Amino acid sequence: MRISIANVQAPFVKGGAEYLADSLAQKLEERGHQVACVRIPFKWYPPQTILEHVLACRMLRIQSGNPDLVIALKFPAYVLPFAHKKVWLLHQFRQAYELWGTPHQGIPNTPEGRRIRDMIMQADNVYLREAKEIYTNSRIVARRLQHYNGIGVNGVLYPPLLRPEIYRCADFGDYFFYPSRLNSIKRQALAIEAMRFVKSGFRLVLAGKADQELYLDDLRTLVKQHKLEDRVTLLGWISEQEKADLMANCYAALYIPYDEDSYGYVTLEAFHSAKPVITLSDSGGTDEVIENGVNGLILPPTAEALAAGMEELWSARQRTVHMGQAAQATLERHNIRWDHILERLVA
Amino acid sequence: MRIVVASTYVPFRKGGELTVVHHLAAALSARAYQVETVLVPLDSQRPAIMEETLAIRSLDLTESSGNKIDLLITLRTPAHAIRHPNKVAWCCQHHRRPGFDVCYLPEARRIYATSKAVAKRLKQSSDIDVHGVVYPCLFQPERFHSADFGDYFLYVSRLYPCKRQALAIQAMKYVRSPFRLVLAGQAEPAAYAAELQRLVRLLDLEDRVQLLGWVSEGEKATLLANACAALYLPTDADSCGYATLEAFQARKPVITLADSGGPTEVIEDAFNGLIVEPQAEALAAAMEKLWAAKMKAALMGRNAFDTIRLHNIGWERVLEALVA
Repeated sequence: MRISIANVQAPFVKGGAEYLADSLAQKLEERGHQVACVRIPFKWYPPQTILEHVLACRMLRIQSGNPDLVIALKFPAYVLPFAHKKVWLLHQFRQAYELWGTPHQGIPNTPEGRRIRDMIMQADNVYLREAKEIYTNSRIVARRLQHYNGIGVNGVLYPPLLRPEIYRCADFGDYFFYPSRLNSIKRQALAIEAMRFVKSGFRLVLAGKADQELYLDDLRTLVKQHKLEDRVTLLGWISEQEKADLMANCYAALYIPYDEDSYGYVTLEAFHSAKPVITLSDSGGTDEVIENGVNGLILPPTAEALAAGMEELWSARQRTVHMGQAAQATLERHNIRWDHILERLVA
Repeated sequence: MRIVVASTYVPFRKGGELTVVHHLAAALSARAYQVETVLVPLDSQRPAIMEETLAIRSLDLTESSGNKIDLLITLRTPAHAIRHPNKVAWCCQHHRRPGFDVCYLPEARRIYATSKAVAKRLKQSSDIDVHGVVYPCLFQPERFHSADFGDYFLYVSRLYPCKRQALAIQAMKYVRSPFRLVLAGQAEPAAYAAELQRLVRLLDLEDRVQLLGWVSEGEKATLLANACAALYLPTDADSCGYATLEAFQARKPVITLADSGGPTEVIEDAFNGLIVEPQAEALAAAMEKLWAAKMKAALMGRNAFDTIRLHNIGWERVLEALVA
């Protein structure tokens, strides 16, 4: 089969969606399909720009090269017109939906902003319904689609890692590890704040490329301001192998985004490394796989609570090891594997 | 400095249109620029691309996620329609009719053409003066070398009617000497490969003509290194073609046709290749001529290599024009 994967592109920013598209492409190719990854640039500010990009996607044609199937992943790539289109929805344009009314809203709450928000919803209402099948990457995204747009889905397909085999457990070292893009919505700042309240000797290691250099500056300032230079390490971008090594030797992992749609690759990487994951009660999709006290901790979203959670794990090493083992078992329970996904998307 | 290299392409198709984008991006990042490529899919089937042009015009590439994009380099039409305060166009096509994005070309800070043919067409059709001709060049040219004077002529290119692989096959019918013809490249449309195969069978040339399909870069370099000479026979092409540059770099003369367009800008008859009339007999005679004069062919191959410098084809020139 000839399959096009339709995704959006924010130049110079690489994140989970690109990783998923690349992984999906690779897995399809391994099974003998011909794959093209089509990426349409997307910029979401000022808000009027969003509509122009939706329009651009609608006017572009993806049928060149005659694909048999188009798998679209993200807004607004899924408005590309194509007869045999399936959507594996990573998320809608969140600022118009669940982020509306939060500090991450982005679109101003003005008459114009509200009109733009309406048009985004309208576009989803109309164009998502064109898809032959719709899957989401988490239950929460499916629930939102039902709630805001009245659109039901054909199922939830949890995205697996591309190469889970590189993740392993080597040691329970003296640091908590949080690898993720540095972005305010990932709340690395909160993790640093938490370290102020920590009495024990463990460290915090943050790794990831900053989407905006400004945020990296903020994090550096925060570390300096609280004199945490010895306790907090900011590694910047690291390779997949470095990440696997750091994960293998960490004490436990953190994944504390604000209201994220999915459980996040970090969670899977930690689970494959038999490490529990600390997340927050408002982190969103993480609670679909993380169970408090079983394979990780779900804590209130404050620096003090986060510090207390890390201390709690740190003081109970045996329990932490057990939680790591439970984490590994979670992967099997949720059937997070590519075979299952390709069966649904391509069959 | 953040640079976006923007172009359009046809998904699933391999060929020079993407090579130039990826190689430019690689050359820029090798010089420590931050580079991202933006490739917008284009429907090759439709003659009018107004919608695509408007779509591309709607894309905002002035910034990305809060980071300023300092320079936009646009290549294949209608990518020139993208708005950017610091846009440099490197036009690499000459359609009979200009793309709709031609009206946005004057927004560019500088406009370059990938060949004299493209520059001329822009002037004729749209009265646009370019700032210069900047030939595309090879990425890591040192990959190509000469090893042997083998018993085959090599034609590496997408199998496509206007590349005239069929003519090369027909020419083999008139060849008396024992050399072979090797054709490498992905077919578009896919059925064209079968058509060429049929032609080979029909002319009873199964032992003389080999259709390899798509070959990797490494295989290509090895094939070139051992070829007697190369062929590049497009119809009125807009550039001299990577096939020509690769052969030149491998010190092989290139046979092209009088109506091939771009290649004739760098190929000089009897100096670094042969320019012959677009007929099977003439092409066969040209191949026979090179085959019979091995020493001359080797000398022409050396001239071919020198031609690259003669025309100032290299990354230094490209980057000086596009980025400086």
